[in-house]
Amino acid sequence: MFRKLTFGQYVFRNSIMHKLDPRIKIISVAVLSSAAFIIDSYSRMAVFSLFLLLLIVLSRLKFSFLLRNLRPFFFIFFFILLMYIIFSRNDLNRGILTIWRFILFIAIASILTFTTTITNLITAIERLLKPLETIRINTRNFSLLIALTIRFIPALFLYADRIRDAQSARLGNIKKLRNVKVFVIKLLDRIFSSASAVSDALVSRNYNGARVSYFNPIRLRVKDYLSLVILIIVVLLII
Amino acid sequence: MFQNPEDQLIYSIVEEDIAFGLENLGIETRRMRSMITRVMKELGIENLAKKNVNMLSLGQKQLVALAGILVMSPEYIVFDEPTTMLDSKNKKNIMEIIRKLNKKGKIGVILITNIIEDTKDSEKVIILNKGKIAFDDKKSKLNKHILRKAGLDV
Repeated sequence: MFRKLTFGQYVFRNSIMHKLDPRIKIISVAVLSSAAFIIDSYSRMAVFSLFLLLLIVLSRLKFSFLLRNLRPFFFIFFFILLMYIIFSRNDLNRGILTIWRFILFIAIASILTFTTTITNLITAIERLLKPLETIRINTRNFSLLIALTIRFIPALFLYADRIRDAQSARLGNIKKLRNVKVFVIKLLDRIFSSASAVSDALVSRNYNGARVSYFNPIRLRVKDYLSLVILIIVVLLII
Repeated sequence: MFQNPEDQLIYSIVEEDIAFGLENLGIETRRMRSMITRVMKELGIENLAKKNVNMLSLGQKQLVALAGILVMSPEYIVFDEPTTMLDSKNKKNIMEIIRKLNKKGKIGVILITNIIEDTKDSEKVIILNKGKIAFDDKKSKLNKHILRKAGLDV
């Protein structure tokens, strides 16, 4: 229950990755994921995996951590392998490569979430989407939306628990369809009144859609640009 | 400041939520930290700075919400039934803080409440009864007769 209250997998470490600008990291994830998609031969996959291993070491990410992220997918991996074995035995290589790709994707994502705080991720998304302001999309609203959602998800679980408990005390079995309808209506009512109150709170804190300054600013430095260039060169060499 | 502490907290981390108002006002980043620390010390919540907002008690949440407002250095604050959802210990604590803000901090206080004792230190009192103003005058002019007519006898 407690784990539902906090979001994200960030752990504070003094690694090179931790110090990189989050925008560069997001772009790197895109570059690396595309590479993992394109690579087709076992040998290239091996080289690419070694490179990822280097990045994992550079970010001080522990393997037990990575394994924990992979655990929910073990069943899917097994299932995919099984399907390939049963239905197209000569394409088994493709199956193995698919699963390998999966693992690489998860490893890439884990490096990102381990070395970057949610706050920095949100700020990075806000800045990366700046070009959308030309078609009049307010990126500040968007990042506030993401932050609010993350902030309220655990709270919503709590609301739901409370309503369900109150209901079962009064109406008995929650599984009857009519009780479920009442539950949903009460939950929606709670959520909407919450949303209304939050918008009042936003106004009372002077929010007007414009982003003026940052409590946790992010800044691009030479080493960030350099890291990205090196990454792209290495990836191009591998594929 | 509003009634439900839950709906006044915007960001997941306490110190970021307090900084929200400052971000909107365009305060420079280097000044933000000292302003936030000062306000947290005033309210006695410095130890909550990096905590996740969902892990706080209702009383703590209300204090964080208040911090987010105080940090903007307001001249006056409107409190909309700030203690309704709190237990008696936290009620007393918040009311004590509000009084201190008014007397020592020189911040104007407009308090909306349904507890007549809260008007103990008020200069002016306005009583609403069935949507109409039943009394609007100096506190000293308030007496039991008026209170009974408004249905507020104690």
